[in-house]
Amino acid sequence: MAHEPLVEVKDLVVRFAVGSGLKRQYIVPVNHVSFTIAPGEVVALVGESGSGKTTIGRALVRILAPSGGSIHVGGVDVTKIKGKALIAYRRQIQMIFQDPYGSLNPVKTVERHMRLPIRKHKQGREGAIGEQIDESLRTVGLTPVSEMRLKFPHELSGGQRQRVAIARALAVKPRVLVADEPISMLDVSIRAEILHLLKQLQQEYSLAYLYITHDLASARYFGDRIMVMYGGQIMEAAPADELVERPRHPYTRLLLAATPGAVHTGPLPETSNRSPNLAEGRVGCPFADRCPHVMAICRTEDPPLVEQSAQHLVACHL
Amino acid sequence: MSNHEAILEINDLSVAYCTPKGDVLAVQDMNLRVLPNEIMGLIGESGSGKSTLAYAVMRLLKGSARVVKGSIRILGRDIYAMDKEELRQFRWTNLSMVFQSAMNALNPVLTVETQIIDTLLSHRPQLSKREAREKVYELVDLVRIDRSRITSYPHELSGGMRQRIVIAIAIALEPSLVIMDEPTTALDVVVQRSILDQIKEVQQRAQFSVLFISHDFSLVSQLASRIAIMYAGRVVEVTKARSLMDAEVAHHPYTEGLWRAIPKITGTSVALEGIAGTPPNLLHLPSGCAFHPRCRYTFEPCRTMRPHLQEVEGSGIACHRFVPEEIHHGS
Repeated sequence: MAHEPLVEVKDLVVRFAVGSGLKRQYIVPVNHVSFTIAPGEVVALVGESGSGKTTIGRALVRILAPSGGSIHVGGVDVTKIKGKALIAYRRQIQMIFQDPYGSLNPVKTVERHMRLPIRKHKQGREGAIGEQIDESLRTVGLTPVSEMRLKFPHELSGGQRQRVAIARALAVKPRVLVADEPISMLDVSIRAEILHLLKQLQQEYSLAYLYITHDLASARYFGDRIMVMYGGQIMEAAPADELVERPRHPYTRLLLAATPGAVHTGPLPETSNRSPNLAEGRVGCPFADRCPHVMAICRTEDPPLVEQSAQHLVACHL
Repeated sequence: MSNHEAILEINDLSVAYCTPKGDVLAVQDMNLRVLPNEIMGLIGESGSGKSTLAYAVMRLLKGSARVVKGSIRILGRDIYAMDKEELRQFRWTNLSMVFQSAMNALNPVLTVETQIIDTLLSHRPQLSKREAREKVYELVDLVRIDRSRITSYPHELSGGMRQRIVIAIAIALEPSLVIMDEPTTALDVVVQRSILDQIKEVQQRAQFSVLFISHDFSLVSQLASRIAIMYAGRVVEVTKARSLMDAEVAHHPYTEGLWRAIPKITGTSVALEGIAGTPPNLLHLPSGCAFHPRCRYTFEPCRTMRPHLQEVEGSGIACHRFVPEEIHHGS
């Protein structure tokens, strides 16, 4: 790769406890995941609910502490940082969420939403804050700025609210933005505009994204590369068009066949529709129970993610 | 097409919500016909009136909502002219509905089998217990659920399986029309696809009509034979689903905009175009055509005159740019 990676995740493991007392068990929603994001690159993370995609996003911005592995951003190890170092780290990485109705405080104006992150991260003098707010709002297309500053969330449409969330995340001028399903709750006619905005910001500020979505079509549109997750592991990763046009992993093929608009007829290529087992200590490929090509080895050994052709990584024994 | 052929016939329907700021018309002067054994799609964004329409057809409007004008006929009978008992008998026997969060509509303390049998017996009290159980088996086979699972409680089944059970209950009495309001929205894509395949299969086998309501254009265009597109409480276009993929066929500017706004999974990746502006506030609808402030083709009549939908052979466009003779039908 020409660039040093901006984000480098190695062997990331996140473990959650479920149940309590003697019934306490552990599940592993993220199981030894490694990937990199280059500066200004959009990596789309695609998977069903429960695949661990959101958990990876949360671990990356360190809302969650990883149970194992490491995360380096800009060459700095951020896996276990706390306190001031963590606050400083958040100047590099920010997150936007799925629900623009839930992520804004209903009793605060747009201006107050914007003021907090700018002050907290002390970029500039007090007097300059107002200008910074105006500039951020203009960047995301919330104009006229003087009017927008004084609005409350309920006075905004869903698309405008998501723009406020994006402006707020960008206020500290991060290098990476984790976008968790940023368009899935918006109306169809609004979604394209938000994707455009994200793309425009990528080009203007060479912002890198981890774009988390369940929708392969939007991943293909917005992502430079796509990683497909299942049961806490990456099944396949490739440049966006390559992955959609030449899918290799049986799970990617299943996902593609099921995506609305795909040219697929006949039954889906799966043998059951059981959801993946995330329990700790599980062995073998997480997709083995549903895979039409399952072999004996799939149930005993985890297939490693290997490069089958240039930049095309697949975790499958086939 | 003669009128009495239609399973569902909506004529000039308006539904209003009473609000402190005045009456809001969520559905306005709507006309729609669903034919026998047809899957008709109904597309619209939030606030377009599509769910209000579904509730109006079921005669389930609640709170301040009421039908202010027009009629709804199912199998030729005006459902707003029925008395309570007639309506109770008519619903589910001839007309049923699958809601968006239908998988949570099951009673958590009864087994799936009990719930299906209850539905059967309340409408067909003459059935014996054995006949009812036979029918349950037949239904779960139809939606591809293992017979051994019918003694399960809802929480023991996955979301997809629960949704299948709800579909089985909806078709238990062989209704002529099933209304499905975003039945797969809460499900993962793979489960969604397998349920849609099943809906299509069951529909072809059991021969009923479906009014399928959704915001997902690519999904509906695969499932339905015809699609009605709603904007601000009105149907702006009724089109054959196949003609959406045909570049030769002209569509309403809103339909065109929506279609361009969705990323496609096939073909070369083309730049998406959103639709400028935001959906209108129903309290302050723009004059003339409600879409004109967002439309790229707006010309003088759009600002003052409301275009009407004229259906010819099951398709039509409510737009001043088209006069009915000019609409292509995409055979």
